[in-house]
Amino acid sequence: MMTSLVVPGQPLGVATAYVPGTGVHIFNNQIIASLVGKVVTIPNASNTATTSSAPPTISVVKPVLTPEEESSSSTLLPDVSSTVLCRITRINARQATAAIFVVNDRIVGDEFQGVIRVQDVRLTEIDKVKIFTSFRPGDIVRARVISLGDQSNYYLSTASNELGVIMASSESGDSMYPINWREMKSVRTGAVEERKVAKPF
Amino acid sequence: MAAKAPDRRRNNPPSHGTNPPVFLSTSLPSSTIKPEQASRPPNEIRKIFLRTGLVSSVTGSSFLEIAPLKLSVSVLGPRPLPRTSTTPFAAQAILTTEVKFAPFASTVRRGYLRDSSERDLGSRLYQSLVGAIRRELYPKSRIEVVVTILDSEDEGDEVNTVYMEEGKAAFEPTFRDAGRAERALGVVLAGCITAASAALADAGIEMYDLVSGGVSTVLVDQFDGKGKGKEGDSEKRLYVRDPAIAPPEGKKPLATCVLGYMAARDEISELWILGKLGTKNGTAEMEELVDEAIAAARSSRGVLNEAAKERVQFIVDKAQSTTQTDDTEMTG
Repeated sequence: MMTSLVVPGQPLGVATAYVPGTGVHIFNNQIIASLVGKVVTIPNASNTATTSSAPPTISVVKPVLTPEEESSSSTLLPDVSSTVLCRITRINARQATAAIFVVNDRIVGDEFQGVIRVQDVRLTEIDKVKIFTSFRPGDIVRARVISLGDQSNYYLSTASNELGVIMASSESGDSMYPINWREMKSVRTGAVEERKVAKPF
Repeated sequence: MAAKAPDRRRNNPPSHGTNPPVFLSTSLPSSTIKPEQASRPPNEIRKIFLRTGLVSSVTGSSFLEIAPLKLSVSVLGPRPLPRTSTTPFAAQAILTTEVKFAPFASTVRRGYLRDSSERDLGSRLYQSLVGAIRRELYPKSRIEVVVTILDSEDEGDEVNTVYMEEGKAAFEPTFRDAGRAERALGVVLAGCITAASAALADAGIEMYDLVSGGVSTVLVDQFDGKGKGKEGDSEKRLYVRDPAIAPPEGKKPLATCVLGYMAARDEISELWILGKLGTKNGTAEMEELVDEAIAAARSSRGVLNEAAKERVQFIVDKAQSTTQTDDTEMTG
């Protein structure tokens, strides 16, 4: 099979004929590639009924060599509303600081710093939330980016059932499993600790 | 900047440098000692070797060779801004470029610390690339382009040579020709631009267009003695693309133009003209010189396109061959 590759700056077609996807931009009413890669056109649903109302989406995709490469991306950045996995690095009464290492199921090249402020921990009874009973340093948390934040931190939120702690170790260091939405139990000692637990799938 | 403290942290070589071996010209086949310029028409650039993806620990990388020039480019990022960064919120990626000559890259040994010509090349490289990158896609992050020049025709920044550092000029600087050092740096800069574009493409950083570098020089016939007064229509201008540092026999370089050029958009992102052009019809000459540099940049763009595709094509071929073997295993 012959695959033609494109380079940045290469025109792919008139802007009216396609919907721009990823890896392309529009210049002079032309769709132009912005990446080196393969051109992928995906016909849109209504296009099958011979209507010209929904043109196909055109994107440029950079192929990857290995599955490991596919699951990670060094050019990936967190964006508003992307789901991330992060490790809690330090906590205080106002916020928990976390290192983001997975964005939208892909491993990032460099870890990004994010914060979960106390008002973003859960959806209801916000004023009763305490950071110390929600997270501990070392917890792995699923969270959503709510803002690009300031110069150093992305602002994260766990205010949803499926967001919160997904992996944690007890004070004695052994792993814990969730027993309800706000408690986790140690596998070995049976000790119960408080966390903002994510709903298991 | 002239009197700089010597670098005491590293184990430095002899300050007077070392002598390269000198071979008898008769021991070489006559073809190898032919002047390089003569073997190539003035409108043809030298052959370029350009390959991407050589450094696995960085996001993107490339290696470029044009005759004696050898350089490697690493692209890091987009990575988060350092915690101590003084920049407030950055809606667009911050690009940093760094050009460093290896200590052995010039004919005169260079120091480990960045000198003025390296900083100058770095800022020119920044200028040529910054407009081509879609920086708005990478907020709150920085993209670093690091160029290491391994070999060049550059003869070193006189101000920063070891001789000057120690305050004792060991030899009289011999007059070679005006703008010789700048011409060497121009060729280096054009190589940096082309190679950096390839590395950015390899990194998968989105760009509006690839930027390729081009150099051209305008030469005149050299007159014996005082030929200056005769400057006029009688002088024939020779425009050379991608010039070698040594001017051809009997020619005197007037000016050199280096530019970063986006061929698909027909945009010049960086323009550097040095030297003197005739006062009579300087504008026309200037335009001719720039056009020649653009033509040189177009030529290197062809190489750049192929180099950018090469590694991706390899991945595509590899993926296809593995799926084919998987299929045969299933049927067999």
